[in-house]
Amino acid sequence: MKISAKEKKDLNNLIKELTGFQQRLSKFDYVKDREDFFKEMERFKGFIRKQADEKLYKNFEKSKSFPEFKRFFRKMEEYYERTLEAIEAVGLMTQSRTNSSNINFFQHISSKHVQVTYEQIKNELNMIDLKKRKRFVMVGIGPLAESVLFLFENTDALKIVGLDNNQEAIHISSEMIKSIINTPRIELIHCDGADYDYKNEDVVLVANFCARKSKVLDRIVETGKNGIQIILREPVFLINLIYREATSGINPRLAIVDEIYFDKTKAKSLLLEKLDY
Amino acid sequence: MKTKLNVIDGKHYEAVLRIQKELRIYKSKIENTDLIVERSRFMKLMEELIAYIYGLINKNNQEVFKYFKHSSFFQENKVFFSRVNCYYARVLETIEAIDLISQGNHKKNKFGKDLFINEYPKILFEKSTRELKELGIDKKQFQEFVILETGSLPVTILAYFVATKIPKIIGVDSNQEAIYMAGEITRNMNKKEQRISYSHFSPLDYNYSKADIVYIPSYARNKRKILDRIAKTAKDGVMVLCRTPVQFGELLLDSAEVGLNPRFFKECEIKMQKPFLDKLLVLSTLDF
Repeated sequence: MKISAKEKKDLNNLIKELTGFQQRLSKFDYVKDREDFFKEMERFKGFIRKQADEKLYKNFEKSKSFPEFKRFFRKMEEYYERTLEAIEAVGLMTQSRTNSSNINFFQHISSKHVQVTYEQIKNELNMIDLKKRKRFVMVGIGPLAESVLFLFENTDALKIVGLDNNQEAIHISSEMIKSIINTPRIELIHCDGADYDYKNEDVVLVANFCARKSKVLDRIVETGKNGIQIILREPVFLINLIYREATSGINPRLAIVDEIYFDKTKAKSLLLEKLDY
Repeated sequence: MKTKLNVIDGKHYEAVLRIQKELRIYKSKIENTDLIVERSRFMKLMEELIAYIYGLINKNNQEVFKYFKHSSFFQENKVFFSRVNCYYARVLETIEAIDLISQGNHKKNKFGKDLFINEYPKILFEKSTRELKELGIDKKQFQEFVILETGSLPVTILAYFVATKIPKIIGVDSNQEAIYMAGEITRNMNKKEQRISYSHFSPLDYNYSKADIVYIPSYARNKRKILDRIAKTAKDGVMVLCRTPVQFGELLLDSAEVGLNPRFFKECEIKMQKPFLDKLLVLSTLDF
């Protein structure tokens, strides 16, 4: 398949930009240069969010360099996002240990990242009939568990289960939650989303950086009841460089019933439902 | 005299059954404990289980262990016990790391074991320091030391940082939260010398080509695969310090001794006097 000279030029420019980000990010030491690493990641994410040329993306996706970039940037993003959350969570715990008065989670979180998630989940919940759905599971809560806390504060859900297969993340988030609230409505479990039994659940939210999205969906189909709903965050265009997508080989027992597109983050959220027949 | 595994006498049979019965009780209690909500209960159960296993090792049950290791119980439950032990060890470190960071202890110019708050890391720190002296690593001219599965609390890194002059100590962990906390703890003391750095990698993917010594901790899983990766990517003559379980410790920790990559020589092993579940294997590859 041949592409035009202009398309080649655009593709080369894109690859050049991404190579620049890759080289700069590779130089940073995660600990010593953390602030610089974070700033460069912000610039990189700003850059990929701006790219909305479908044709260019399609060509890039088929280029030889795409898989290598994908491997590299996904690792960087996972490190960036989870470290950012760990910093916020440990910071909040420190505050709650030194401050005896009640701490409001969202007031004390300085990260823009949390505000973005907050907006996103608020819109995602509009796709769901919250009167009928009382049990939620979040797959991949990370150390900050902000989605779990959002569900706790903004819904009447009877049970909100948070899963993560990372022992440090689950420990930090459970300690952080314990330091601000004491509630039986939230249950955190050290478990891979691809191993959990979803039989009692009404809605499952799958995190962006969940590594085994397709396997999680298969497991929901295998163990979840008919009609169980899933909110799946999917990357658009160059956001594919940092998050995994799952809709291309989606389990045939799942139907897409709704979707929202977030222009600011170039992400979309799909509402899937396990068929009732 | 070799033990004939297919023939077990009444005395040993009774002993194996007794141990299995005890371990079944522990397993059931652990399975019925919520790791998050009942964390204290879980930690206490794990402490009791480890103490029970120390007891078995202390009683010099070598012969009983040979039979026990080949029992279906051991084969069926090893994965369960090593998984919960790994969770326990890493959470124990995370608890200490959060305490250190939230109390600002790591910023008070404290070095060595005085940095730590709880007893567990202090014991580990002393153990690592004693081993270091016994090995004479402080006197050798190594350039790069790689410590795998650093975890949230970089005890081994700190022991080597304090006791040696190795210019480059790299902590490798596949878990970003652990790297953040370990980095935060060593950041202050590393300010001037810049000897410690961290790498976010799985030990199975890391490239060991520049390492002079590699350290594999006791709770690392897939030790043989890690050793295969080191043999494949490290330079000739690389030294590996690998913690491997002693006797009943195999129920909780992955062993590195069986099926060891043929490139490795076993130079020596160090056992501590106090009851520990493991020993330190000193391995090196052929310089050829």
